[in-house]
Amino acid sequence: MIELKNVTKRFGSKTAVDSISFEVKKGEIIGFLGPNAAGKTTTMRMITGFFPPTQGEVIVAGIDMLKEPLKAKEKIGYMPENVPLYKEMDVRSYLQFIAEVKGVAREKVGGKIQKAMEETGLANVSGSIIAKLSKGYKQRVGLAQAILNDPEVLVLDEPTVGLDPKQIREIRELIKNMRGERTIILSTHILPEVAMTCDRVIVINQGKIVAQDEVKNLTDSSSRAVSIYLEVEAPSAKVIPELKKIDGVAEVRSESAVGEGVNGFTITTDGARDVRRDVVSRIMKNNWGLLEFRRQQLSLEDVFLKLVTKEEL
Amino acid sequence: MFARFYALFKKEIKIFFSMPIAYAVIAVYTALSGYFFSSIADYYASISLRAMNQYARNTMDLSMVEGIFRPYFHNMVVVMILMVPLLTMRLFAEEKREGTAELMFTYPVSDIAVVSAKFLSSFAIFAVMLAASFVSFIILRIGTAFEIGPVFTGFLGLLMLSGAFLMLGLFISSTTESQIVAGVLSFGALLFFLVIPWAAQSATPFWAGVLKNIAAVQHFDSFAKGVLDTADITYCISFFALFFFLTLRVLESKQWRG
Repeated sequence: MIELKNVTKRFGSKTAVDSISFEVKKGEIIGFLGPNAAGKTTTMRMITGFFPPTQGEVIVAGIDMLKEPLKAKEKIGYMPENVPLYKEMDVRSYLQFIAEVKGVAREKVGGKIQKAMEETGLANVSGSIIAKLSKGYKQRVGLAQAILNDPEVLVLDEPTVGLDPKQIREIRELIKNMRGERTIILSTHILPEVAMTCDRVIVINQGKIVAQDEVKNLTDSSSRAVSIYLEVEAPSAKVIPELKKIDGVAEVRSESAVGEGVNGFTITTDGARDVRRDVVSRIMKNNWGLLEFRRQQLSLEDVFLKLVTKEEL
Repeated sequence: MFARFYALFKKEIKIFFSMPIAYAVIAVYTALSGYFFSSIADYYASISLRAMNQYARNTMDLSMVEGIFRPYFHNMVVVMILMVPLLTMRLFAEEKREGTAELMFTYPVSDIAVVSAKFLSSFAIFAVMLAASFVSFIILRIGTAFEIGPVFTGFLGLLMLSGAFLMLGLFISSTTESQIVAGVLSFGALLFFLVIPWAAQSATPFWAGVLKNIAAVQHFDSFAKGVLDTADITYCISFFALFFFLTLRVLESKQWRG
C-alpha cells in the first residue's frame, strides 16, 4: 500500500533521510519510531506529497507520488504533528471545507462528515468554534479531517503528543478501531504506544532505518539474554557465589535490600538455556526463603535504546 | 477541479469575516471614501460658484471629471495602499505560522488553485468595498447631471490597480511567516510604486521615462481622467502576472527548503 524505494531527502548539504526503503502492506499499522530529528516527519512529508524526495520513489496505493501527485494525494489522510487547523471555523464547516477540497462527491459530503464525526466522537461539538475546543478535541478534529475522504492510507505524525493520559488512551482506541480497514503509519517517540497499537515497527535514526520488525520479534531477538529478578531471604555474600555456580548464569547482581534479611538480585543469563529450574532448586536446597521470582523481558525501550545508541558508536 | 477551488475560496471568505479586521477595513475604506468624496465635491461647488460670479475668467476646464472625480480617485489610491496590506498580509503568513499550509499542500489541489483562491477572495472583498463607495456617485447623480463614463473608467482603474496591488501583497505574504512583516513590506513596496515619479524629476531623460512607466500613479491617471489606454491595462495585468508567477515559485521552493 505504501512503498518507498531508496528515498533520500537533502536540504542543502544536510541529509535528512538517507536512502531508506520499506513497504507497508494493506491493513497494517506501522509504528515509525525514532529519536527527535531522526527524519520521521521528513519521511512522512514525502509520503504525503508535501515535498518530493531528492532521490527515490514514493508509491502510495499503487500511484507514483511524483508523477501523479494530485491522484495519489486523494488516497491519503494526514494528521501533522501539533494538528494545524483553521481555528476560526466551527467543526462542521471546517469538515465541510475539507470534504470539498479533497474532492468528496457533493451528494456524499453530508454522510461522510457524519460518519467521521461519529467515528471520532465529535458529534456533540459539531457547532463549536475550533479555537475553543480542548486539545483532545482538536486532536479528534485533526483525525476526522484525515479520515474524511475514506483514505486507504492514513499518516499520523505524533498523534498523541501533548494530551493527558485519558485523552491518549481515547486516541489510541480510535486508531486501534481502524485496524484492518486502513493502512496506518504513525510516528511516535513514545514506546508503549507502539507496543499497544502497532503490528510492526520501523526504527529510524539519523535518517537511516536501523531496524524493522514485528514488535514481538524485536523484543525477543535483539537480545536473547533473559534476566531474572528474585528476592531471597539470605545474605548476599552467600547467595551470589551459589547462584554463579549454575551453568548458563552470566552475572548475578545484588539489588537493594528489600526488608529485614531479604535481598534482591538480578540474574543475567547468556541465553543458551533456561536456568529457572536450577535457580529454584538451588535456593530450596539451601533452605532459603524465596519471596519473589520474576522473569524480566527486555522492554521495547531497552531495544530502542540499544538500536539507537549502537548507531552512534 | 473548480469545486475544489471554490471550496478554498469560500474558506478564505469565511475566515476573513470571522475576524474583526474585515469589518474595520471595510468600514474605514468606505468612511474615508465618503469623507473625501463629500469634501472634494463641496470644495468643487464653492469654486464653481465663485467662477460663475466672475464671467471674465474662462472656466471652461472646470469639469466635474477634473474637479471631483480625478482628485477623488487619486485620493482613493492612497487609501488603497493602506488597505491592501491589511487584506493580504494574513493570507499565506498565517497559514505558514500555524502549520495549516503543511496540511493544505497534502490535499489534492494544485498550487495554482490555492493562489487563485487566496487572490480572488481578497479581490472580491475589495470589489465589495469599491461597490460600497460607488453609492456616493449615485447620490451625486440624483441631483446633478454629469457624464457617467469617466466614473466607470475610474472605478475600473481602481479595480485593476487593486488586483495588481493585492497580488503583490499576496506574494510578500508567501515569503514570510510573520503577518506584521508581510504587512510592513507590502505597504513599503506599494508606497514605492506610488512615489517613483518624484525620483523621475531629477533623473536623466532616459531613466525618467523608465521610472514613469514603472510608477503606478502614472498609469492610473488616465483611468482617473476617463481615458482607457491599453498600455495602462497591460501595466496592471503584467504587474499581476509577475507576482502571481513569483508566488508560485515561492510555493515551489518548499520542495528544496523543507
